[in-house]
This record gives sequence, structure tokens and C-alpha cells, in this order.
Amino acid sequence: MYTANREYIKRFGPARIIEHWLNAGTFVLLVVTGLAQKFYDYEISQWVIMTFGGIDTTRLVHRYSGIALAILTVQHILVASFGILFRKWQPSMIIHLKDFRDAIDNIRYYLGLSEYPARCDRYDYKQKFEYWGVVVGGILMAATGLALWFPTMVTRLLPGQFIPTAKALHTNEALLAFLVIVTWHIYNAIFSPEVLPLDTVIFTGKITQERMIHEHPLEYERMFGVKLPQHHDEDEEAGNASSTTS
Amino acid sequence: MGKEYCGNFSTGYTVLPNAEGRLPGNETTASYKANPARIPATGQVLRFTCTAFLPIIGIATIMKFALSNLFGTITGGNMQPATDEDMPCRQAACEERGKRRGTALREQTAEIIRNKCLAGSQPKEGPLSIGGNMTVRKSHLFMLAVLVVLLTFSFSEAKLSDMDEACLGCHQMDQTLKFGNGETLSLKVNPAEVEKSVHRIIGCSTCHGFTSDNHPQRSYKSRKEFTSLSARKCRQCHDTKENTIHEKLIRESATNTTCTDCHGAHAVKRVRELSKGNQYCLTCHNKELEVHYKDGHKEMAIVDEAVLNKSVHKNLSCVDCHVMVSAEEHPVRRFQNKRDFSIVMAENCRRCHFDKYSRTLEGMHFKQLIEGNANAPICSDCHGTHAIASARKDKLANAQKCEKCHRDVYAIYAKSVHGAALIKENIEDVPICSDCHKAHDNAGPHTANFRISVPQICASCHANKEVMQKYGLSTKVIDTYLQDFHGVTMKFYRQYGQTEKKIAVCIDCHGVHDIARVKNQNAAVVKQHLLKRCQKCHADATANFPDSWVSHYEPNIKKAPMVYLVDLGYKIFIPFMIIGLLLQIILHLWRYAVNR
Repeated sequence: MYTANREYIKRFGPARIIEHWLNAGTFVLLVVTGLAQKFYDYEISQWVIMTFGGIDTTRLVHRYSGIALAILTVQHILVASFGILFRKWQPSMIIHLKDFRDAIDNIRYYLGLSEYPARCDRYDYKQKFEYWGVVVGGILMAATGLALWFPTMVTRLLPGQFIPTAKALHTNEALLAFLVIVTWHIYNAIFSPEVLPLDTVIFTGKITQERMIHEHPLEYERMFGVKLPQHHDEDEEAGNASSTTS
Repeated sequence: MGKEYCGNFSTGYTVLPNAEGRLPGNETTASYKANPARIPATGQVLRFTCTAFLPIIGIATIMKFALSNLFGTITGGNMQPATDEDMPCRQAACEERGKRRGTALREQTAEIIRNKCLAGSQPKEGPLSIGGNMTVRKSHLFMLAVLVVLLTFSFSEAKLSDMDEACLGCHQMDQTLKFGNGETLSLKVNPAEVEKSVHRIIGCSTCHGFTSDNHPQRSYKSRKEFTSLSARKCRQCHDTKENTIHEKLIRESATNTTCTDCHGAHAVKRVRELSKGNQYCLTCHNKELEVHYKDGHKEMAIVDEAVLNKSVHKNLSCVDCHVMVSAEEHPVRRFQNKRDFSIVMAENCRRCHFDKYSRTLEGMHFKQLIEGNANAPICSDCHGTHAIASARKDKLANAQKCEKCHRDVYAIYAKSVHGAALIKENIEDVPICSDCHKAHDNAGPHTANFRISVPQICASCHANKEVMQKYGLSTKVIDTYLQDFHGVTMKFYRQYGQTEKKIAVCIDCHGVHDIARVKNQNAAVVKQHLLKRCQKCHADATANFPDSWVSHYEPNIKKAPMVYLVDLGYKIFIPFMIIGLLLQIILHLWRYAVNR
């Protein structure tokens, strides 16, 4: 049933796709305007700031993009909570102990200590890591960003040191997010040999059955009520190889 | 001759017929031909005549007067008429004085005086008029011829005449003349002086009017009156109009400045002999000469040689700055007031100091000057005039120059950490006015450009490790500022010349002229002061707000533990995370490659 099936399985609705791209857009804008401020001494930063029309305009763009991302983050949390609570959506992003085990299993598999990779559900541990990075990071960035935007209001209630602390958090977290995205996310979405040249799922919302079985076997099993063999990929790859060569 | 050329005597050029033999008439100017070859011929003759005969004529003129006084036979035909209206012609007094004198000499003196008065009122009548007729000139020439012979003897031995010896017979002795106001004057005359004088040939009586057998007693109110009246005699021979400054001096301050003030009386010498080299001008300008301005103010044009010799310009000559004046010419210039004169004179500094001058053009002092504020400082206000000194030497003195006008600011500065160090401890590392505001191109502190250049101004000392080490100050103050929100903003504002919006620079927190010490001060007090400064821009700032600036320290566990720990955490976490992810990527690729 599953072998060499090129059938597509729907994975994301249009709302999620739009949400991703809005997130991506504001994120790029924030990174460009933010890092230019963080590394203001570099020529490229100065070019960016001048292109935006000066430091004040750059900050304005940064702040309003920040508001956009904050709104996106908040609406996502609200929509997800609403869906889970009232629409019986599966809280598939929740991190379980299994995810940590999966990570260790996968690394063992990469190192050749284990025969099979981890078998993941709808979202594997890498995706959960990124997802929560975006959600938690988004909240953190929004909070610290607002503190930096309105320092006098914050210091009415909190000690003055919260402002430089907020700056330290904001700027470091931003750097971390940027680095994770450019290494991990871009690798997984573009350069990973499994998706090269491009993971199209976030454009089309559909995943090939082949990749589904390979990357999300547990969800596939639940979806279709089948039991996949533990060693499916080796078999499949061996089968494919023999069929193409013969 | 008239057919051949038309001479142009004023230029010395002659116009010759052109190639076609036509006389110049309506042709274009191109056909005119000058013949300069003719000039030397005429010129040489003239020059020879002048050089050969002028000294003789000059000497003869002097002698003529000497003799005219002695014999009283020549009328004062060549006397200069006193056309000077400022000097009242007291005809009646003159005549009165003339009557009192019985002798021929007195008659003659009276005549001279009378003639002066008459000539003043009716200058063109009779043989007395200047530039006279042929009769006068003939007698003049005749007398010259006679006197040249006499002079030859006079020159051969520099001896005084018997008459003069007679005067000196008494005037060698110590005698004093008392004036109406109690002043006294020694009547002793040094014969050696007279013998050396250029006037030795004209004798005492030519100037004094007395002879040994005719010596009436006269009284004067003051010494000044005596000298000024005596000095009038000089004008019998010396035309003061030849040199405008003489004319002016005598006309304007006849009672104050007299010929003898500069030239001496009995030891009268040529100015050139009196002067010494570079300081030629001081021959007169070490005297109490008055300068008069149009607004009625007077000033002594006296220059102290000692002061000049101390100045950095001591090797320059007066005319290097006082252009338009030379040994030959001293035009009279009239200024509205002293300030106008100073402003005009300061323009001459640029002849050498053009770099500084061109910088002042960008300065706000110059701007004020051209806007009509005559009190705006000019070169000499800060650098001085004759006492000009090196501007680099004494910092305190430099600061005090600004104090002359900016008294209130200086008073604040004097109390500041910088000012107190300079004034009380004489520490010259501190900035003075010109270090921040610039000396010449001080564009004014209220411009946006000045504002955004403040960190750089402060950094010029506070980022200098050598200087800061002496006082145990940190050089990180600039970097910590520049890395913070205000500093980054300021940097960009500066980069693209944003001038409208203000951003906090050093002076906004530390103050401008009243910069106070922050180090080792009561933290609570500093914070309290700082809050007020914060509130200038952040109106709603509260007591906690100043702490949001971690001061000029890199965050550390003591000063800003939260910031320090967060930074530290990320410093460890970011590499850990990224290296971990990259390792996983590499492992993934490796596994993929192995599996293939």
C-alpha cells in the first residue's frame, strides 16, 4: 500500500501556510533592521540603515515589524488554544519525554550506534524545537522589545537595571534565533539531502506519502490505520535501488 | 616741429607720423606709434639738472632765510601763507607784538608774522603771494647766487656765528625760565648740540627772534605754550603740507604736539638720523602723539619699545602690519572710532596668518562682526597688538581672554572639575574654552553640528590613555557611550548630518561648563542629579530610570549582575546551541552518505 506511492497527503491548511510566510516576512525584516542596529559598525549595516532612510526609520520599521510578529505570535497562541480546547485539535506540538528520547535515538542512529532512526509523530523533535523556539522567543522578544521601546514606563514598576537586561536578552535572543534559522531551519528546509532542492510542503501544504512514511511514520500509521515495519526506509531504499537497476 | 609730431608731455611719449607719412588724426589708435627713444634724452637732462642743482637750491633757500633774518632786506615773498584756518590769525596781537620790537630784526619778525596773517586773508595780492611773479623770482635767484658763495664758507667749518656765540655766552649757564603755571625750563643750551644740528647755519635768532642786544623779557603760561609758539617758527621754512601727517598733527593738536617733540629743538636732526633701523616709526611714536577719531575721542599713539621687543613679532617692522604707511608716506586716515581702526588693522593679520584668517570666516565671531556687531572679537582682541604673544604657551591666560566677554560662562567653568584643576592646581591637561569651541572657526555651540561633534570633542582627551592614566580615569567612557542607544543614534545622526532631532551626548548628562566630578562621589546624589538630566528628554522618567544606564562600565557581576548574567548565559548558550546543531547536520549528512 505504501510502497512507491507518489500520492500526496495533506499536511497544512492555507491558514498555516499564510501564517508561516507572514512570520517569515516579519522575521526577515526584524533580523535585517535589528542586526544592522546590533552590528552598527559594519559597512553592510550602515548600508541597510541608510537604505531604510536613517537610524530613526530603521528603528520605526523594526518596532512595527516587532508589533506584527507579536500579534502573529499572540494570535497563534490564541488560535491554537481555542482549537485545542474547543475544536478537538490535537496538541501535537506539546513536547513529550519521547521527543528527548527520539533526539538521543536519532543521534545514536547517526553515529551508527543504533540500527534505526527515531520514529516520529506529526512533528518530530527538530520541528518542535523550532516551533517552541519561535513561540517562546517571540514572547521574549516582544516583551523585551516593548521594554526597550518604553523604558520610562517599565522603570515605574521595575528597577532600572531591567532595561539593559532587556536589551541583553533581546539582542542575544535575536542573534540566537537568527543563527538557528540560518543553520538549522534553512538546512532542513532547503539543503538537507532529503528535501533538496526545496521542501515544498510549506508552499503547497501537501507532503509525499514517501516522505510522510519516512519522516512521520507514527502519524501515517494513525492516519491510515496501518503498521509500518521498523526498518521501512532500508527496505524501501533497497527496493528502489534494485527496481531502478534491474 | 609741430608738423612732425605731437608730443604728449604728460606721459613722455611722442606720437610720430605713421608709415604712410600721415599725421595721426582720425585713424585708429593702432597707427599711433610711441617713440620711447626720445624719453631718455629729455629725461637725462632733467635728471641731471635736478641732481646737480636741487641741493644747491635747497641750501640756498635755507641760507636766504638765514640772511633775510639777519639783514631784514628781503621781503617774505616766499613765506608760506598761513592758510590754516584752524589756527586763528590774531592779526591785532601780531601787530601789537611787532610794535613792541624796535630793532630792524624785530621789524622783520613782525613783518613775517604780519605777512602770514595778511597772506592768509588776501593770498593773491602783492609780491607777497606764494608762487609769486617774475620780480620775486628774480630777486630770489639773485640772492641764491650770493648765498651759495657764503654757504661754502659756512660748510667748510662747522662753527657758529659770532651772534650765536653771543647767545650761547649766556645760555651755556644754568638758568631756568618759570612759566605761569609754575613749570620751569632750563635755558641752558649745549653748544655741541647746536653745532651738530642741521640748523647750525641759521643761527639762534632765526627761530627765537632774539639777538644778544635785543632780548625782551617775555612770559608764557606754560611750557607747552612756549614750545608750541616756538615751534611755529619751523613752519617759516618747512612746509608741513608736504607730509599730511605733519599737517594733521599740527592742525589738530597744535597745543599738544609740536615739531620739536619729534625733531628736537637745538639738536634738531633729520628723522632718518634720529631713527634706528627697524624701529623707524618709533622716532615719533615714542612721543605722546594724539590720534583723533571722528567721534571725538582721542588716544595716544605711543608705542612702548620694550613691549614690542617682548612680542613674538619683534623681528617684524612696523609697516609689516601698518601697511599703507612707510618712511616716505604717512597718509592721514580718519576713522570713526578706535574700534573701526582696530577692525581695519586686524584685516592685515591675514597677510601672514591666512590659514587662521580663513578659519575665522567660518566662526561665529566673524559672522557677528559682518552682521554689524563691532564688538565681536577680532584677532587683536585675543592676541593683542604690539604685545602680541604666542597663543600656545599659557592655557590659563588663553581662557581668560574669553573671560573678557564671556564672564558668566567663565565663572561657571572656573568652578567645574576642569576649570578648578586649571585655575587652582595649574593642571594644563584640562580643556579650556578653545579646546571645545575652537579658537578661530568656532561655529557656535548652539548648532546641531556642534552638538553631534561633542562626543568626539570629549574623546580627544577621555579616550587618550596617556592623559587619563594620570588621573585614574577610564578611557572606556567613549566606547561605552557609543555602544549604547544614544551613542549609536548619535553616530548615525552624525554620519548623515541629521540635525533636527536631539540625542543625548556627553554634555547632556555631565553638564557643559559646569562639568562636575563623578568618580568617588555619593552615588545617590549623582543619581539624583542624573534623573533631572534624564527628565530633560524623558519627561516621564521616574527615580528608577537613571539605573537603566549602566554607567560607563562594561556590565559586571557587581555593577549590573542581571545584565552580566544574561550576557554570560547567552555567551555560553549560543555557541553550544549552534555547534550542537551544526554537529547534528554533519552527522545527518554523514549517515545519509553512509546509507547510500
